[in-house]
Formats: sequence, structure tokens, C-alpha cells
Amino acid sequence: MKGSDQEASGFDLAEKALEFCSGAGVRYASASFRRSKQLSMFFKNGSLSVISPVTDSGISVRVATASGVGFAATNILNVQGVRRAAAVAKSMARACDGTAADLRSGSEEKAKWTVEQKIPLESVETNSKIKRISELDKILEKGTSLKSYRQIAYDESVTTKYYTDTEGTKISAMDPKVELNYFLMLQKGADFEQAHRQLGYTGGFEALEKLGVEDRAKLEVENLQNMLEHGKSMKSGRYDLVCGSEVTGIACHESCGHPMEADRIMGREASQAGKSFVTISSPGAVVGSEAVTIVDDPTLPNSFGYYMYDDEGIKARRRVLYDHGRINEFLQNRESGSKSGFGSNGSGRASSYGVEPLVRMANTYLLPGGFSEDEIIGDVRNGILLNSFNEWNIDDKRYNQKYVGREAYMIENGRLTHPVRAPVLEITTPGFWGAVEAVGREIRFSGGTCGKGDPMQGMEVNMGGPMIRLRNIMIK
Amino acid sequence: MNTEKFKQMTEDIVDYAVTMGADDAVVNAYSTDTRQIRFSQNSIDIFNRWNELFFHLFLAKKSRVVTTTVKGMENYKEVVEGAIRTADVSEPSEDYSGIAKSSTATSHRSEWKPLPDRKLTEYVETAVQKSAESGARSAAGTLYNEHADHYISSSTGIRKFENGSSLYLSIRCFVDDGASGHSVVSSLSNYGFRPEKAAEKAASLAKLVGKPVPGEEGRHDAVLDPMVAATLVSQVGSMSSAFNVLGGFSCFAGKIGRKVASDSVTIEDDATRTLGGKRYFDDEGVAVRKTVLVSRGVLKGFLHNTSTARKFRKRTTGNAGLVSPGAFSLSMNGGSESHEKMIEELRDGLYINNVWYTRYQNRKIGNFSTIPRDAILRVRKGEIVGSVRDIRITENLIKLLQKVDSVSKEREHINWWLESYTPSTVPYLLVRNLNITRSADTN
Repeated sequence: MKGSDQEASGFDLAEKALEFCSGAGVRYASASFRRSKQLSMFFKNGSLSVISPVTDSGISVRVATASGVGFAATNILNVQGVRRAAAVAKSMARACDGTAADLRSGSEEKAKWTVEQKIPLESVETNSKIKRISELDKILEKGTSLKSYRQIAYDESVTTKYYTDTEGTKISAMDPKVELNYFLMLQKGADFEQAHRQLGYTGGFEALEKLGVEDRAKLEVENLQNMLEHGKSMKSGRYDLVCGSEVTGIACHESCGHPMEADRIMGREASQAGKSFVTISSPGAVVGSEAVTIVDDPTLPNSFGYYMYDDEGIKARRRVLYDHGRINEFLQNRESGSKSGFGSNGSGRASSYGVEPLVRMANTYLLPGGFSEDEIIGDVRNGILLNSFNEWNIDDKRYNQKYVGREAYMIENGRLTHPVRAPVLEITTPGFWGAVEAVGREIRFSGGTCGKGDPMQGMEVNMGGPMIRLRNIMIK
Repeated sequence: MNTEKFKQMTEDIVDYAVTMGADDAVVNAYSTDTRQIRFSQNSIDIFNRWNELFFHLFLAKKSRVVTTTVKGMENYKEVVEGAIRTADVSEPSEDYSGIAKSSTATSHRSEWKPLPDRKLTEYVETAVQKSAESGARSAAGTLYNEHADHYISSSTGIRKFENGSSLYLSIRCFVDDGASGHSVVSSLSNYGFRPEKAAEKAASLAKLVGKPVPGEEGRHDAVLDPMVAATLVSQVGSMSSAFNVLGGFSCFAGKIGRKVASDSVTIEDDATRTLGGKRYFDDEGVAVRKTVLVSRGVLKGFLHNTSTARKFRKRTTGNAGLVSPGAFSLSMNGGSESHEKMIEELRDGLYINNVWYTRYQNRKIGNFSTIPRDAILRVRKGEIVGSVRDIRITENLIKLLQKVDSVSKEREHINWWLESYTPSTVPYLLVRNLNITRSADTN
């Protein structure tokens, strides 16, 4: 059977699965079909360790009664397979003896969304892709006079999705994605520095050009060698802190996006990804300066976190999370929207056909301000520029975070003077966002795979923003 | 699909791969039935079930390595042909030097009768009830019941079958938002499965928290719960994969025969034990066995598949991963003291229940940090006198292992979410001078 026939058959099977979900006590049911054609390559120190072409297809059904929610998935794509999945989901929903959220949205949507691939992934020969990534490895290897260790992972997918539910919503989508990760370790004698870069794009093979992969890699290896050869340790103390887009972006993701996930706020993820310092009654509370407005927007064309409808058939839109320093709107899926009373705002995403949609970010970033980057650095007498980071983490309430510099510089009298090795920022969420007093004009994004859920659902996201300046920050 | 058809399809895929030109081919086939209940705020959120069929194909043609998966009932010939076409345009892997030619592993089949759905919801109800009885206001967690048939067939003639089931509960109990405890429990059969045991421990720890105050930076003696020990031992497992060592991303590279931990530390990988992570053979069909990684603090060896073993001029340890070997079921030795005695011996220190978000600044050097969560208890003169919050363990993996003063006689079998991803049987650890940092503006 050809791919397009398999997809049509998958759509029909999803409808069939939904029919099987009907029955006494069923308040809402949905069926999702996905067929994802994937290619992955992993290079280690210039050698192609493994290449993996995989087509992943399956159907899931979710059945909600007043007392429980049952979810079943199968990759046995025939009528028997989906009949069994529907029966299992109904049986499990009925085995629950609680009070389930009402998953109905009250609206019916019918839509089809696709993303144009300027260079369709299928049109590029596999050996051309191998060659392109091999060349990237050579940039990382030859761009330094130091010994290097390199790992590169290239992943592409073209995913056809179909969602149908008992409210009459029917959404089909075609979602192509390209992702590149590289890990670089440079050695000088007994000393080492490492870097990791992740870039993601929704679209075709033009991704590598659009993301400027080779240029970034060249700069990356130069910067890392510079850190290793010329980086100095610094004295702990209070400094003005300038964060580059990469650090702004991770802070947006970790200490704004995550704590604003409504399921987390209400305890749904408590035993894994944790809770939040934000409560359901926090909107309006101050968490940052007036300069801080952070949004999550799935509708940015070609962004890694792009979608037009979420995986629960809800239309995507931009969400303003922190508005001029105040807690504003939570991220919501059907379940959290029902429980909290706010309704879904299209944040329900599932990483594959086989897992339930959770509340997820898409592209989370700080809105731009009015400063040039020269102005931001120029107004610092004694400071640190944290352009990128390696080690980072944040507690499970999203309050205490740490970013350790990878590419970092001393700023003296408005000028970058010398590289600084591994400056450490450990700071609270309001401590960080409350100290932002200048925001740059130019936004840059990094790709990310956000982790959440059980089983773990790695989700494609972007994070970013402009350069920002914070005053009087403790750096260790 | 019945077992005979399942085996036949596995063998057919291998045969077809060889017919199409593969020099080596291995299929690891799985037929799985997994049920999961997620709960929070003392109530079930969702009951999940996955019935799936996978045939993971590994093939090498002129040292060009391709992996793919035949899923469900799809046409395997099309998938194999695609994999061969991919090999034809690919490049040889410098890592690859063959698969196992023979195996002493035995096949294993056990009868399995699925538990009723209602029995699984009862396990959750039992845990939630015990949590409440032990003083917690709310509980959240996950219950898993898994069964898998695994059949391997390789072009070198290895054919083995194994199956197994497991039950697992992870529970985090809250007395209030700032006072929580976490514990897990697992069993390969329902006879030994005691969800209430994990609930009682998690809730009891939560009750001890009270009102935590900001922790202090500096060096602290600490007793680490098995949840924390399991995270550290999982890191040792990852750093011991010969693939990571060869790749240049392991702090254990070049340290065989050297001290990487204190004399109190012995760590092995041993999937032959009847615990979560048990298996009879690895992904090449080689019998799993006990491999000593660290013995009395000395690094003894790495985890290998056939290819990495040849690079190191060793024999495979039965830890394939066909591309990258890895740990299956780790074990750290126990000691002679009870963990209560270890706490009593703390003059001024901490008890840390759990950690998460372990990240490295430099994997080659081993510098990392991880964040304590749940009960972080303050101990003075052997008594629990309060609790702290907002701290971070900022350490070097080797230096931390070298600071393990003693290990408890009690051990728990732990795996939890992202942190202790490899099942590990581990004791409580008494660590001297653990480096604690925190946010500068904590109040």
C-alpha cells in the first residue's frame, strides 16, 4: 500500500475507532491517527554510526465518562485492532471510580493544515543528506587546532495526523520537521570544554540553510577554543549581567513557560515534572519588571514548535504568559481548561499517536524592547555577558534555577574584554525577571526538546528572545 | 499474533534481510501489553493501555549500519528493502565490527495471566489510602503493569525467547505544597507487590518536613536516600558504556584501574537478578551476566557489546545495545549499618530524599549539579530538627563517589522517571562534605 493510501485508510480507521467508542456513559471520545516517516542519522567523531529510516503509524483512542478517562493505543492497523483499543479504553474509563474532567470544548472544528517544504525532504537523496552532515562534522573538526570529540544527530520526520472526536471536530495535518543536535568536546592537555547545540525547523530540507547550521558551527568551535585557550576564572561577586538570546530563551522556557502550565499548577504532573510556584489564583501577581512580556506562540511560521491546531483539535493562538512583569494566562489543554474553568487555549500536544496530549509549550520567547545590543553592553561598567550555557537546571516548582556559562565574557567600561570560564548564575525566578531593565530589539531562537509526562514525551519547542540586561546580580 | 507466528515473522525478517544482501542482521521483536494509571490529588487522572508489536531490525552491509522497525502487521519486505537501499547509499561505520556468533543464553517462558483492571485501580486506592493514613494530604504518582514477549533472531543463528511481567508504583505524597516525600516500589509478580510500603515511606518523610527554611551553602555531611543513590548509580552506568567512553563523553575514560570512588563503593551491572530490569540475553542474544564496574572504589571495566569489545580487545559483557551498549540492572553493595544508625551518627548534616534535573557542565571531567526535592531534613546530633529547601548539589561525579563514607545494610530497588532510568538496587549513602549551593537571592 502506498503512503497516501495508508493515510486515507488511517483516517477511515480513526473514524471507525471513534464509532467503536460510543456506548453508555461515554461523555466524550476522540481518535487520533498518525503516520510519521522518519530518518535519523548519528555521527560519532566523523563516522556514521547508524542510519535509521522508520515509519511509525498508529491509532489511539481516548474515552471519557463522568467517572474516569481511558486511553488505549495500537499499531495494529486493522478494524480488529481499533475495535479492541476502543473496547479497552471504555473498559478502563469505567474501571475508574472518581470524578473526571469534562473534556468537551463545546465547539466543532473542521480544518486541514499543512506546512510547505520548499525543498521536500523526500526529494533529497539520502546520500546527499549524509554528505551534508559529514561536511558539518568537518567544520567542527577542522575549525579548531585542538583535539575534538564530536557527536551529531540529524533527525527528520514528515508526520500526517488526523484527529476526530464526538463533538464533530475533524482536523488533518501534515507536519514536516528537521532537527539537528551536535555535541562538541575540545581538549587542550588535561583541560576540556564542551558545547551542545540544538536547532529545529518545521518545513523541508531548506532548514539547514534557514537555520544557518554551518555558520553557527564554525562560530561555535571558534568560541569554544577561545574559551579553552584564553578564558579566565572570575571573582565571585555582584555584577551587571547581560544575557544573550540563548540564555534569555532558556529562562523563558524554564521559569516562565513551565510554571505557567496549568496541569502542573494543579498537581497533575506532581510525581514527575513537579508543580509550580504559581497558583491558580496568581494572575495579576508581579513576577518580573515592566520590561518583561513573555509569550508562547505556536503560530510562528516554520518554527520548531509550529502548529495550527493542537492534538486535541483546538485552534492554536498566541498566549501572553507574563504581561509587563505580571502573571497573565496559563497554558491549557482540554483537561486542565475544564478543571480550572479557563478552557483550553490550544496547548494540548502529544509526542506520538500512543500518548495522551499534555499541556505543552510551543515557541516561548521574550518580546523585544527598544535597545540595540551595543547599547545594552555599552551601559555596563563592570559586568558579565552570558552568551550561552552548558549546565542548567531548575527546581520542580520552577523557582530556583542555575545557568553555567559556556561562551561568556567580562564587560568592562562598556566593552568586552576577555573570555570568562564557567561563570555561575544561581537565581530565583522573580530575582531574574525582576532585575531585567533593558531588552534588546533582535530576537533569536534555539531549538529544544522539552521533557514532560509519563511515559516521557519529548516535544519540539523553540525558545528565545533578545539580549537583556540585569543589574547587580550575584555571579559565582 | 500467537507466539509461533511472532517467532516466525522475526526469523523471516532476518532471512529476508540476508537474502537482500545484509552481511549481518538481528531482529529484536517485542509483543507488549502495558497498562498504566496516572493519579494526582488522590484521584485517578487517566488509565492507559498500550498493546503493541515491534520488530526492531539491525543490519550491516559492508559495515554500513542501518536500524529500522517493522511495526504491527505491516509488510516487512518493504521495510527491509528500504533498509537495504539505505545501507547501499550509506557509509561504513568505524564503530562496527560484527555481532555475536554464538550464545550460551537460555530461553525462558513464564505463564502470564493479566490482572483485572479493577485490581490495578485497587493498588492505587490502597496506596492513596495508606498515604492519607500516614499523614499526607494528597498523593500523586504512576502505577505500571507491563508484560512483554521478546524474541531475538540473528543471521548468526542465535534464536532466543524470553518474557516477563512487572508491577511498579511511584508515589509522591504531600502534607502541604512545601512538604513532600517520594518513594517507589516494584515487583516481578503481584505476590510481592506492596504499594502501601512506598506510600507509607513517602508520606512519613513528607510529615517530617514541617516548614522548611532556606538551606545554607557550603560543605555538608549528608545521608542520601536510595532515590538519590539510584540517580548517581545510573550516572555511573551511563559513563561506563564503552560507546560513551570511545565517543569522548565519559569522565571514566582512561581511568580503568584507578580510584573513582571510596573503598565503600562497589557497583555492578547484573540483569540476572530477579528484579526489575531482569533479562536473559542482550540485544545480540548474548547471555547477560554480572559485570563489575567499580570494586572497592577502583574502576574495573566498561559495558560492552561485540563491536565495542573488539575495540577494547575485550569480550562482550552481554550489554548490547547493538549500536551502544548500556546498563540493564545496576547494583551497589550494602554495608553493615542501618540507615537509622547513619542518621544518628550525623552531628550536623542533611538527609536528602530525592533529586532531579541532573545536568553536566562537562561530561569528560564529570562536573554536574542536581536538585534535591521532597524531604530535605536537617539533622543535628543524630536528631531530625527541621528541614531545608532551595538547595542544589553542585559536585563532580568522581569526587562525590570518593566522599561516600559508608553505605547502609538496607537496599531498595529503584527506577524513577528520567533520573534513575536504569533500575538499580542501592543502599542509603553517607557522604561527607557534600557541596551544596543555592540561589543568591533565596529568602
